[in-house]
Amino acid sequence: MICTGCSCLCEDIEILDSKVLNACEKGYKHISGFREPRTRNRVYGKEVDVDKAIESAIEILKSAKSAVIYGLDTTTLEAQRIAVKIAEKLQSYIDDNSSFCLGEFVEAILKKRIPSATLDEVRDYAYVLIYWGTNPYHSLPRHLSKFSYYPRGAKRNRGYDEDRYLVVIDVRRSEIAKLAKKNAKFIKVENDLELIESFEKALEGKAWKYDVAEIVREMKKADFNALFGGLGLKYGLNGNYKRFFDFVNGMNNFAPLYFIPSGFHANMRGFNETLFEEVGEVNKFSFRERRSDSQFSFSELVKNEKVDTALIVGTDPIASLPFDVSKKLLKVRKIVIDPKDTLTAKNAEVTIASAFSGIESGGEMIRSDGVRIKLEPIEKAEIDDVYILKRILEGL
Amino acid sequence: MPLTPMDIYKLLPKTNCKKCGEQTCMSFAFKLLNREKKLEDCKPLFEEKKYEVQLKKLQEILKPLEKATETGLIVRSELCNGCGNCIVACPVHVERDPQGAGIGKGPRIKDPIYRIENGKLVIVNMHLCRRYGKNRILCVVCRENCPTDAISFLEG
Amino acid sequence: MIRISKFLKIEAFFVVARHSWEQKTAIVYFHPEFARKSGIKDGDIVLISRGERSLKFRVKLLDTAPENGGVIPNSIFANYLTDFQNFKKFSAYVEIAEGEESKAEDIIYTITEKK
Repeated sequence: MICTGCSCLCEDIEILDSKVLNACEKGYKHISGFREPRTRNRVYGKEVDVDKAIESAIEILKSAKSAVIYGLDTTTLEAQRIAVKIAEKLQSYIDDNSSFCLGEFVEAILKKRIPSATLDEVRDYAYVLIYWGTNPYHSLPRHLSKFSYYPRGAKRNRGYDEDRYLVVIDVRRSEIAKLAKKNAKFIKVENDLELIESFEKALEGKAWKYDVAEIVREMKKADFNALFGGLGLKYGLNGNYKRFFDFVNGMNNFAPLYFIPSGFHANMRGFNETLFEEVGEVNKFSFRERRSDSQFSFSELVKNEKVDTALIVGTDPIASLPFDVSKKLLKVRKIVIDPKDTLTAKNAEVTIASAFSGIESGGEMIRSDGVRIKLEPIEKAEIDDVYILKRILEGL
Repeated sequence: MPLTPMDIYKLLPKTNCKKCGEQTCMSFAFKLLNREKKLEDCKPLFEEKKYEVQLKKLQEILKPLEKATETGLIVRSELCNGCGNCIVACPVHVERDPQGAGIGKGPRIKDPIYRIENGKLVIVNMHLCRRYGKNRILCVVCRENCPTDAISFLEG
Repeated sequence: MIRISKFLKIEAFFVVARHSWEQKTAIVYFHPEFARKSGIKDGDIVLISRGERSLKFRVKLLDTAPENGGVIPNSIFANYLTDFQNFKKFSAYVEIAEGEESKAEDIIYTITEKK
């Protein structure tokens, strides 16, 4: 089966004698823990049947003056497409977690502003592997063993101490920083923009704040190098994305360097690509104004009290967004579609109990590198995101 | 602090009686640490009352050895998160499972040295490990690539 | 070595990062060196305050935390103290506290009580 615990979408998971094989601990908990506290269908705190819950949701959406659809990063492409249709019907806003996660980077890849590659190509060809502001040990546990540093590849078959050069950039010595021993480098970064400048100066043979001359030399030796960027990079750039994209493109004049976003939910890239196919933008979209804007991110809309209704699918904003956003969620009427009884689900006006994508319901998802994966669920639940969203769309 | 042959020798009878089949008690201490001899092979320890206290102490310090496999490998499960670095880096897996563990997937051979079960590293067939048996070598690849030092070996 | 106490607080640097699976309780992972220098022990309860907001956390030690502070896992607790400008790292004050670590319900209460 295929694990949908993170954006690695590992396809080699087996279930043998009720033991889950090959999935990391994060994946195992995702796959096995799904029978735990599940949410119930509720309307204003009272338990109801699923039909009543869906009807109430439709009513609330119809009476909304300004609505937003949010979440969608843990659900399938099929469900995401229906959600986009609902947003269009309602002339509402639609956004996912990527607006505060790696949306800008996925956008740059889809709009062809920076070069990217698949993880299979990284495994087969990449020499220098740079992990910038990401700690896969906790977010994508099997990343190094499945795709980058450890596996033998078609042109990298002599093992990690001869055929790979690992670079870890972080503000502290993280778990993967400890692996940067021989033929590797750990950079304890304090200012990401100065680090970018150090790389650029190193290309001209000049030294700057950070010592990256060796990394640059190693990159020149190979015809395929990879850079994995995570939230540490995004927030370290403090909005200066163009600076980073110029840097990646500049490095490419010197040695091939491909960027792959690292560390997010199973199908975040799926949402970005789904919305991009429909309207040419990856997130923060308003169907009324037919454009994307930073003011249209879920957090900005809620903080500035621009919406009165939110359809929240498979995410928990009360827990995952900063307090100055989550405290405003009280004023928004919330419809939550989720299998888990999250903090947001417990405090929503309408809660609709759904199924776990990939485990109880099938469909397709897109991995962090853009590869489409067809899910192989081990059960089939009748009421899943696609069923619920279809009924809501029909009811509108 | 890993156990040394000296730690064991200090608690043995130190008579070099050869009843265990070794020439000296020091040699027996080494073989005990390597799991090639069992504590029961030292007959005087068990048969003579004057060694009672030493026997008890020896049984105590040798207890961790029971948890270790015959390759001397100990896995601290509470530190393991199933990242799989050890499985993929293992030179034996690379050689024997080039379409499975060798390229980063879950092991495809029937009895790999170890694999991830329920999110934790579990030993399946330590006979394949290079640290095992008569021609063993002191391979430490898995330990060196564990980000949380969940894998350790008896000799330190 | 200055031991922090109820009457003395020190500034520390925190990184907010994904840790383990989901974080349902308020835990902070301090670097062992920082803990030693500040007299904080594994299992202690500390009050971490930033601006007007503060929460109680239970202490654990972890050597992958920054040397001058700690790691707070992605959670409602980290989000109570931070904002998007400082989403992944911030400085805050630490002092020893009594009682139990803060619960998620306490934070929800502050949201729902602002009627």
